[in-house]
Amino acid sequence: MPAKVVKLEAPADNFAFRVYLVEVVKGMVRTLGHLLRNVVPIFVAEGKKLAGNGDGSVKGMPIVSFPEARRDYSERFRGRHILKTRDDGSLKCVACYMCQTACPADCIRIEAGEHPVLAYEKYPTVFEIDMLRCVMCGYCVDACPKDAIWMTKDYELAFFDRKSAIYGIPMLTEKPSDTAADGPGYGYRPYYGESPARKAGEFEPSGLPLLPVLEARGAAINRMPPPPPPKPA
Amino acid sequence: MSALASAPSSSLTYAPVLDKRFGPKARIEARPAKDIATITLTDRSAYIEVARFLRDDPACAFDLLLDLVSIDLLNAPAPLRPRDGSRFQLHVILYSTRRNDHLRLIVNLPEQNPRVPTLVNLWPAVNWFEREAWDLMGIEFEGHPNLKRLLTHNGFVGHALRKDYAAGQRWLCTEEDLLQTDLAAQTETPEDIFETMTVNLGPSHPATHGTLRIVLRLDGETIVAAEGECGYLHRCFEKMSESHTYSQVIPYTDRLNYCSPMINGFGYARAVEDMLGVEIPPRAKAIRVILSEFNRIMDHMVCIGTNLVDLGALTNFWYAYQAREAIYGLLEACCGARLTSSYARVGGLSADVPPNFDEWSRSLFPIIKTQLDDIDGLVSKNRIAHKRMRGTGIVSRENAIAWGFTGPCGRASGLAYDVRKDKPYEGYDELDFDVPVMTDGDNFARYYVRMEEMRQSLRIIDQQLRKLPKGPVTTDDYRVILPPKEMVYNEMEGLIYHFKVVFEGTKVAPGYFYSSVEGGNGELGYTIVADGSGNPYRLKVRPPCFPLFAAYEKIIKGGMVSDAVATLGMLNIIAGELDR
Amino acid sequence: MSFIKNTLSWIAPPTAPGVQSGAGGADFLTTKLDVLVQWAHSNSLWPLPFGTACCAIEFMSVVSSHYDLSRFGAEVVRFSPRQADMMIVAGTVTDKQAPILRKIYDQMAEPKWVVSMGVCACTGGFYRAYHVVQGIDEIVPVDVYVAGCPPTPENLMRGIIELQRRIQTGDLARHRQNKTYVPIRVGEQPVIGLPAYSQSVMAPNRPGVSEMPVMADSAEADMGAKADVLKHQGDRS
Repeated sequence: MPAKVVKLEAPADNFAFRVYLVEVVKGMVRTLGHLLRNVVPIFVAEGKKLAGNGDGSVKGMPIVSFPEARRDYSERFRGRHILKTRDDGSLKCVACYMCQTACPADCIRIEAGEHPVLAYEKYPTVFEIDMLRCVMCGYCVDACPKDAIWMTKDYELAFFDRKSAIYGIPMLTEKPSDTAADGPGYGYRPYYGESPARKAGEFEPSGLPLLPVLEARGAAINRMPPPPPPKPA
Repeated sequence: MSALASAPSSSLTYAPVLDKRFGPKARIEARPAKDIATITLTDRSAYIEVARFLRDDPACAFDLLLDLVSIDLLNAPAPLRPRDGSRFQLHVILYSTRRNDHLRLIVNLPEQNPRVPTLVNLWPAVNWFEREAWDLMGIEFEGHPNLKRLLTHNGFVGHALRKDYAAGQRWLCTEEDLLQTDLAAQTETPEDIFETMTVNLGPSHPATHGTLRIVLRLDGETIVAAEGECGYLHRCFEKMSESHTYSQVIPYTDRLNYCSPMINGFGYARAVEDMLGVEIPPRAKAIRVILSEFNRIMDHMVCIGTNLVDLGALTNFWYAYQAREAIYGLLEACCGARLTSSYARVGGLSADVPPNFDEWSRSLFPIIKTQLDDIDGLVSKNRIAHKRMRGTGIVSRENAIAWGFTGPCGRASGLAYDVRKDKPYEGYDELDFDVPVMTDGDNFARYYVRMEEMRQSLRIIDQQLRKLPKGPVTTDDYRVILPPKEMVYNEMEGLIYHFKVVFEGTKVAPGYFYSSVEGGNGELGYTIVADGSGNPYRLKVRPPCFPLFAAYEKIIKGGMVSDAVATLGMLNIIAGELDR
Repeated sequence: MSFIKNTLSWIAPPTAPGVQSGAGGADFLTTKLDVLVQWAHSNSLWPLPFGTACCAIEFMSVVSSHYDLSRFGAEVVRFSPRQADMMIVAGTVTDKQAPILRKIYDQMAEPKWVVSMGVCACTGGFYRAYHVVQGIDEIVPVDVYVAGCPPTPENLMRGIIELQRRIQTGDLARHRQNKTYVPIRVGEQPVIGLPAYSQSVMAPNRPGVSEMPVMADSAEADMGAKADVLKHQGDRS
């Protein structure tokens, strides 16, 4: 296809342009239109207790009234990680270091332990993710060959110090909070819908004794601390 | 020479002339047609002579200098390393606007005392590129007017992109290290004590995006001289990419031009794919085109919205951001993040688009169009906007070429070069769209061209959506991309491929490659040097902003300070790709 | 604040420590004033966006119509440090930028707070590189770290809400008094060569710091037992 080039000309310097007043009025009409489009639904919704969308936000208004209302992110959203567990509560992770290798930020640290139950082979005694290094690229999820790490829609990750941002196994196994209207809050994951694992029994052994992962290193730092004591009067 | 016989004649029409003129001094390599033509200098002393010939000879006419790549070949494998054992290599990437042709000129430099004459007199655009090569690679350019550090601070010791420089070696910077621009140093020359004063604009200034610094010498409100400084966001993308695999670089590319992150990722992935010779499925190409255009709209929206804020028109910013937020929703549904998408993969995309992609994309059209019309209505015939933007920051076509302009800023100056049209990729040649061009070269032209480009982007998206093919979005070459999860979970073969891709990365055969796409600001080029391992040996980005900001100090000379702010906004300097 | 306290103590000298002062005394008044001042502080945080990179684009989203930070009394975006209370460091801070960041922080009037937005500002993120500050707490004391690259606007707003909460409870003021910050960018020599970084615990093969800087260590010691993990699950009722 031959290159198609269009020459543009700046708007002409005609009388209406010079008078300026015409353009002022036109601009006012435009902005006023926006105002009315935003304000009218409020008055309409006033009778319905100002709940146009059922969550405090008003239909037609762009605003997301966080924290009362939340934007509905898709099921691919990349938020806090979650380590998946088997039916018996033990981690699916076999400490193969794939996610640690794939991570461009090097924010994952794994220490492997030998497991007494042969079916499990290895398991992570330490699995830490430094949330203040993680860039949420999702490469760990892609790299996991055992379907052991997913991401969630939990995006509220703010900390008061750097140590508490290192998430250990207890924090990473927490189920996602129900932030979304439509689902359990899982985000980016290797597959959507049915698990593509053919032999579920072999892939996810169950009925085995619980592992002592929670006593592992890293748990002490990352356990939720008690709420701060009430301020003395 | 014998090498000429096998050179592809279509792109090397100038080869016989060159061969006749320089003989054995310059060797012309025949390379596969997917890359660009290459001339290797066997004799270093002919560097300036050959360069001048390439620029001036009508058969060559390489008038636009795109990029200057410096490479350290320490410990490089044999195919990369020159026969004479030179350690450094310079690639000068040239483009001919008249003949629509790219060229690479290679010169080898020794380990001890690497120095070449400067090209500033031939292509003024090379000025900052040479400073960057001096700063990061330690190559000296004889006769350069201002060979100082550019990206790193003055307290920095060593040259960071050399292979023997440790990636994590930092040097502290104190305040004294910053105040060393030439202009700031010479405040009190006798003749101008009375008249002029020196003003420091930025880097922490709302108009300079927090990362650019300009030192101005003012006579009243008029700028007598100016000096720009960058590097405040130099976060070592190129060094980092050398220690990551090809696929791990993609999250880094998102953060180059963060106003249009996906274009960077797609451009990079395309460069690696071309280098590997991997063809991606048509659906992946179509999706890349659609999302690139959405990103282009976002980029222009930010540029126009924030620049109008600098000019005092706040309303447009809210309108522009409404359109952006609407696009964010679509991008997030595709890739899982609002801004830093990591959506591209070498060999396709990380996932298919959501099932309602078509309707969703179309539902964005009215939103974007409404906001476009609103901004158009408020600004295009606004007399204040005209007074601020028309006739300020003028760049003529000749200057635009000399300074290395591409993209909307080049097109506003009458340089009708668009990579999407002139070097079509990902099926852009099958789409019907116009390249808007203006000849004024002022700030208003840059604004107006961007507005029209957004409309053209909508046209492209509309056409591409109509013929969005079905099928997979990744190649089935599992040496390049992670195999599907069914294979990984259930088959040993899939698991092996999976392990190899993650642990070793995709291995690219030794060689170098230049590939470019039309970014939000112009030609976004990637020069990849591969050494056969899973990591890039050297990755150089040709950031479209870099020549723009290099020329900025020349554009604003003679104007007012307030016009300088308008010009800076309309050039749309994105620090992420400027400093990398 | 201290002026008011001084004036009050001049009118009614504070009782000796350990002695219970009666209700209605100067202590009662200053306590109530504290609450009032903290309330006022927390609801009129004027942000100074120290935006350098991608996070600044998301910060623009936070102040534009969809998320509208003005609902938290923080809409008065000021680019002058003299007029701002809360510095939001949005984006990567490089070594070249570091003295500027420190200078702007020093120019802000007390009381001031620093929100570190995004992983680059918090720790350097995935730029373990020769020109990137590995966490702005090398340079300025940080009150809230917001993770994400870049954080979603909701995440930043959560950080600001938590900051407000802590200003209101007065935790932060006490915490900051004890915070012994050692400015590291001092010395006669303009150029101080650092040795290559020690091996990182988190990434043994790549350089980068993993230890806490001096300032953060003391902050942690101060917080001690009440180290409050800012977790959304905890306070969402």
